[in-house]
Amino acid sequence: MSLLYAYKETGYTTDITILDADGDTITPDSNDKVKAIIYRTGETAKLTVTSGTPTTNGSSITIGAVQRLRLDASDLDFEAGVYTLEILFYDYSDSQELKMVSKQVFCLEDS
Amino acid sequence: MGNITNVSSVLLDLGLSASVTDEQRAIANQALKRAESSVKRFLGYDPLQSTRTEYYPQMVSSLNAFSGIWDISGDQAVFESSTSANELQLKGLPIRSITNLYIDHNGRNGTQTDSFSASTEQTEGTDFWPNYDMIDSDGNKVCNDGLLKRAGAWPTNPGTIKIVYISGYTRDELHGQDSVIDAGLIAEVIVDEAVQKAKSVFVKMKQSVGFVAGPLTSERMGDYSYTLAASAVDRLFSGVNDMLPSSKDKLRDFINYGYSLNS
Repeated sequence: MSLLYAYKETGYTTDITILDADGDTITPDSNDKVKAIIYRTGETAKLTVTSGTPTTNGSSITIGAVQRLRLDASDLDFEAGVYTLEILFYDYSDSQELKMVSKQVFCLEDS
Repeated sequence: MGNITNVSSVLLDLGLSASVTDEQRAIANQALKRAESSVKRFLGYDPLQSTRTEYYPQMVSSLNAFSGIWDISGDQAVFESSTSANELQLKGLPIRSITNLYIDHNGRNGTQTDSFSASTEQTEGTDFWPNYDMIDSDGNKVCNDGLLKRAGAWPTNPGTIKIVYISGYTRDELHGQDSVIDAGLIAEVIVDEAVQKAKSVFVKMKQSVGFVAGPLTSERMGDYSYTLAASAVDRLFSGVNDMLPSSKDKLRDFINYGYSLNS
């Protein structure tokens, strides 16, 4: 859990490490997916990024031992404020189960 | 989990955004849910925009209930009390639009077979009209006082009017991000109240494991005694659904006084 702070229409990059219950690092394989969603409860998500499928503007998640989340400046054009950033892990080897990794506080400020 | 605002806002105000445990998040979520419930109860309506279906009038007026006039409605003779008026106060604020409005003197709150049929539907602008007083950022009319006006008098017999309408504020308005309507105080109060309730729980949890900073301001071992901080104790032991006076003050402009006085 951490506080992520970004500015409107300014690119943002952060690294995410996924750990299992023992604290060991999980490295997704080619069939797994990592997804990041920025939203407020009850509202339509402001931004959804899935590994392997960059957004039109180029926001992406590059999977590996560390997942690199890159949010393109053009995708950070929604209203400034406090949102939740949800990180999900689509585990292909575990019956393709969708697992919650973490929920983080995401603050977007006017640039 | 709340509907009007987000637990992330609560965690940020609690100073827990950078490092929160699952237990603290669960407490914050629960506090948010209770805070929203408290605000809705205080206002008397759900401020989040939605479609509502309600039956009116919702009370029997005993004042002059036995004086009035007989009127004709279709093939029925209808007694209209002299307390009837040409204004009807709806519960939800503000009114954004009326989807359907029916008047059926034998409607019985919708329990009668074929009650509120299409033939009893009224036409906006001809039979009735909301007391629109402004235009929102999307160019739609808004009725802030929740009053429906009618060319004649509204029926006085409870359950004879069925209304399907949209009322409440949009999420942008509730987050203070709308250019015309600012209902940001409602979301602000919900976060403040959720933070307050979560803090109360955290203090109680700390207390259960020994003396730490909290409502105890001093403690002595020999001839055991302690002193309690009055303000903290008041908050800690007040009902969990109570709201702070400052929160109530902030919400006064949003209370539906007309409905409260008529129900």
